[in-house]
Amino acid sequence: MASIRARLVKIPIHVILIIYSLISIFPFYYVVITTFKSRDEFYTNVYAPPEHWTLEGVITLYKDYGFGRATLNSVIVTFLSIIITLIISTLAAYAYSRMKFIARGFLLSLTVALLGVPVMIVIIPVYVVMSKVNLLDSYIGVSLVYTAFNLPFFIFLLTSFFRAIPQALLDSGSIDGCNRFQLLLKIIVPLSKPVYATLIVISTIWVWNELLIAMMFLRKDNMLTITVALSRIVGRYSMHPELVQAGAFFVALPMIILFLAGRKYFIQGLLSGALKE
Amino acid sequence: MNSTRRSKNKRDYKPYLYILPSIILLIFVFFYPLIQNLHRSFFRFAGGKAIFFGLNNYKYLLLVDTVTRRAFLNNLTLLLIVPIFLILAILFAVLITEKVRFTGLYQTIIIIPYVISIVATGVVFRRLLRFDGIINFLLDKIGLDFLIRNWLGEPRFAIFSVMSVIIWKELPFGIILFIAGISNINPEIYEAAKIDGANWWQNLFHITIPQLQSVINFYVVYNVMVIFAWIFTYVFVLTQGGPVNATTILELRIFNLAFREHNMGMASALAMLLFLMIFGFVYLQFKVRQGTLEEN
Repeated sequence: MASIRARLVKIPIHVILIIYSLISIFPFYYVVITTFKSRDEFYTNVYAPPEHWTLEGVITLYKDYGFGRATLNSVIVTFLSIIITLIISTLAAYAYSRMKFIARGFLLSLTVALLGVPVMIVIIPVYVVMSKVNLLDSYIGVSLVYTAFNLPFFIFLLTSFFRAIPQALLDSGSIDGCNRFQLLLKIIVPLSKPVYATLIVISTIWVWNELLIAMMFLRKDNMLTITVALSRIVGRYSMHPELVQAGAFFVALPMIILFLAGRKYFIQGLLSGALKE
Repeated sequence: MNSTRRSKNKRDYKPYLYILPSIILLIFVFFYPLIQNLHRSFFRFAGGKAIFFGLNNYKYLLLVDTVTRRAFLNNLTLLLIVPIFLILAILFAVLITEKVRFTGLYQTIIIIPYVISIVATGVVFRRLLRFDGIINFLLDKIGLDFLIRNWLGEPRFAIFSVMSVIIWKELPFGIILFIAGISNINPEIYEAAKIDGANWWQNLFHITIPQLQSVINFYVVYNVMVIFAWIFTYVFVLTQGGPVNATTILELRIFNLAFREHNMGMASALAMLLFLMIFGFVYLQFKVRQGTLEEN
């Protein structure tokens, strides 16, 4: 009896959660069905799945609107900025967690304090600097800007993780003849795989999705990232809903897959950012 | 041995080599720009020349410029999101942590909006909020056809439409946060309450919410920062600030001053004002929280 009553009580909870889930995924459903409709069908059949599935929109998007190139650019920029961030932040976090030097605490707090500084506040002077040193429309230039915005979070998380590694492990490495740099590569980095997974998942999603920085530093048609390419076709081709929605589909899909694959790390990352407080 | 190593390390320059790349990059992307912004904010740039302008950029922004005032008021209106986020995030976190089936599945589906690019989100909602979009279609179906309107095109409603899109996309973060907060609460507290015969609502208001106090504090501060400094892309993709500045926000105003009106001095001044506002806010809430800690 009691268990049946307990179950009945839970029905309203399911109803609320199902409604919220539907609201959460409906836009994605709409994107998917619109992507695979022809333009004619879009105007006669708006919210049901396509009667005739077609790749017309997708093909046009990639052939005539440079989406292939934009996808490639996004992959390069995401990959490059994360590699650079990983190298620079690992070195810095190693020093902050395992070495003693003057002003260590001050420099570390100053670095971590930059977590969350708004892009818009600093971006204009950065743009001026980049144009002076000829790093506009270059993969390296934009990747360095992304790196800078990723660094505080990476250094914060890595430093606290490196600190927790027992000194005994490092001492045994020293006895085996490792120097300071080898200790980092052979002991600390392999032990820190879960943190690295967390950082990579979080920052991949951020860089791939980001618009403002990409829009300012990559302006030539063949250098646009996928989000910038999408933001450009929205205004210009509003008469081609199937094209625009296909663009949204290919911006969103890789990150949804990444999230589903690395769910644990993603949630971990969101929470560890909040723990800073 | 430890002490000899330490004294040797005092002259050890190597640690600085490890942190050097990060420091250089952070100087170029954060510290130098802030100084540059401050410097530029006292100038007017015309015809390739910089003319010293004193505080006139600031005076104009604070006293004269109606677009900036509109933008600031819009940011304030958007602060309505903060209590909405708080209530909804706690509500859904509580529901998900009730021991029901499919919790993992709900959680996964609910997070999806949070990993989708704001640009893609904006693209979809521009469609859904149109005059012939699904929102109006549904309103018509349930007999609320007097509500039908162009949601992003009418000045009085556009800001609330933008608000709804932000809620749709950003709410999952709060839910995740509160789920973690709730699972950190000691279950013995609930056990004790059960013995005292507390009901579901009493549990919520007398145990769960008080126990979540620090998470709530963080979440409120975080969202105020988001509203003032991290929502440019929503407005840029959904409305470009229109109709007639009804959805212009401070970030967009900075962007337009710099790249549409080519007034770098004024853009820098507004960036400085925004920076001071955020910095002041963070400092203030830090002080307030310190005060309450001492009282306890």
